[in-house]
Amino acid sequence: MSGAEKDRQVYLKISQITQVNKKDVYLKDVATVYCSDQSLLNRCNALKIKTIREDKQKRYVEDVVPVIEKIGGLGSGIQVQNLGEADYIIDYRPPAPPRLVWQWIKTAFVCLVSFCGGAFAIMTFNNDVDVPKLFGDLYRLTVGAESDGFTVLEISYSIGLGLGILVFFNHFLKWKMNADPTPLEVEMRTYEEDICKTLIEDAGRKEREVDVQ
Amino acid sequence: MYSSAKLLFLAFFGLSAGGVIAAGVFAFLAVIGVYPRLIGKTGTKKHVRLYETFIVAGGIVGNLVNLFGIPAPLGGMPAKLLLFFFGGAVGVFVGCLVMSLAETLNALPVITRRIRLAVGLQYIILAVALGKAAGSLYYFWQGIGNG
Repeated sequence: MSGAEKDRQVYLKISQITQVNKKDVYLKDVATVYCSDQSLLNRCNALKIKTIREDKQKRYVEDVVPVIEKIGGLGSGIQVQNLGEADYIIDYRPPAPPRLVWQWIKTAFVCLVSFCGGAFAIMTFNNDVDVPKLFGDLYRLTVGAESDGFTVLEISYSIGLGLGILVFFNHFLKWKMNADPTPLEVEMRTYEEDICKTLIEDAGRKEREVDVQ
Repeated sequence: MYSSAKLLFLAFFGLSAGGVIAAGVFAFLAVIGVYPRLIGKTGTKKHVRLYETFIVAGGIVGNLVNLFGIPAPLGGMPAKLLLFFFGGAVGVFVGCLVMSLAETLNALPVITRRIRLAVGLQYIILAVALGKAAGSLYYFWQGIGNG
C-alpha cells in the first residue's frame, strides 16, 4: 500500500448511545474518528450526520451506512474502517434548565424505596424461614438452656448480616473496598445495554407480525 | 452456664449465617432489576452509590428491628405517618418486585403471543395493577392471612 492510499484510511468508532442537547448532530459528537491526514480528519469530524426536527425528548436509532457514505463523499479513494457499532442511538434531550428540586425529590423517593425495600426484604426472609425459632432451637441444643431471644447468636447474626451486605455492595457512603464497580452499577449498565439493544432491534425490524422465527 | 467454647461456636455460627444470608437476599435484590428500573425511570443514575448505602442501611436496621423487636414509641400521629411512608415505599417495592418476577418468567409475552394480541397491551398492564391493588385490599380487609 502506498503512502498516499494509507492517508485515506479513516477509522470510525461510533458509540452505541449518545445523549445530545443540540439539534445539529456532528460526527465528532457521536464517534471517535482517526485519520493520519489531519485536514481530512477535521472535515470528517465536522460532518453533520443528523438534524433533529422535533422539539421533544426522543431516541433516534441510526444506521452507520449513511455515515460511511458521507465520509466516502469527502474525496476519492477514502476507505472507512468501522470499529464501533453498526447501529447507534442518538438520545435527544431538549436543552432545559436543571430542575434541582425535582431531581432531589426523585432521589429522596428512590432512597426511601431502597431503605424500606431492604428492610422489608430481610424481615420477610427472617419471618419466612422463622430465624428466631431456629436460633432458639440451636441455642437450646448447644448451650442446653432456653433462649430468651437475645443471645450471642442473634447479635453475631446481625453483625454478620451487616458485614455481608457491605461486602456484597462493596462500599458504604464514600468508603470503598476496591476499585470494582458496585453490583448496582453493573446491573445499571446491563439494563441500559438491554434498552439500547431492544431499541435497535425494534427499529431494524421490517416484518410486521412475525415475533419469533 | 455459658462455656466459652459454646459461646465461641455460636458467635462464629451467627456471623457466618448472617454473611451468607446477606449475600443471598441482597444479591437477589440487585439482580431482579427493581432498582435499575427505578433509577432508570427517575433518571438519577449518578446517585447509585447513595441508593446502595440506603439499601445497606435498610437491611441492617430492618434486621435489628425484626430480630430484637426494638420498640419505637413515637405515639399516635407521628407513628402513623411513619407507617404510611413505610407502607407506601414497601408497596412500590413489592409492586416492582412481583412484576420483575413475572417478567423474568416471560408471562406477558407468552400470553400476548398465544392469543395473538395486537393492541391494548397497556390496558392489560393496567388491569394487572388494578387487580393487584384490589386483591391486596381484599386480603387485608378480610384478614385472609390471619387464619
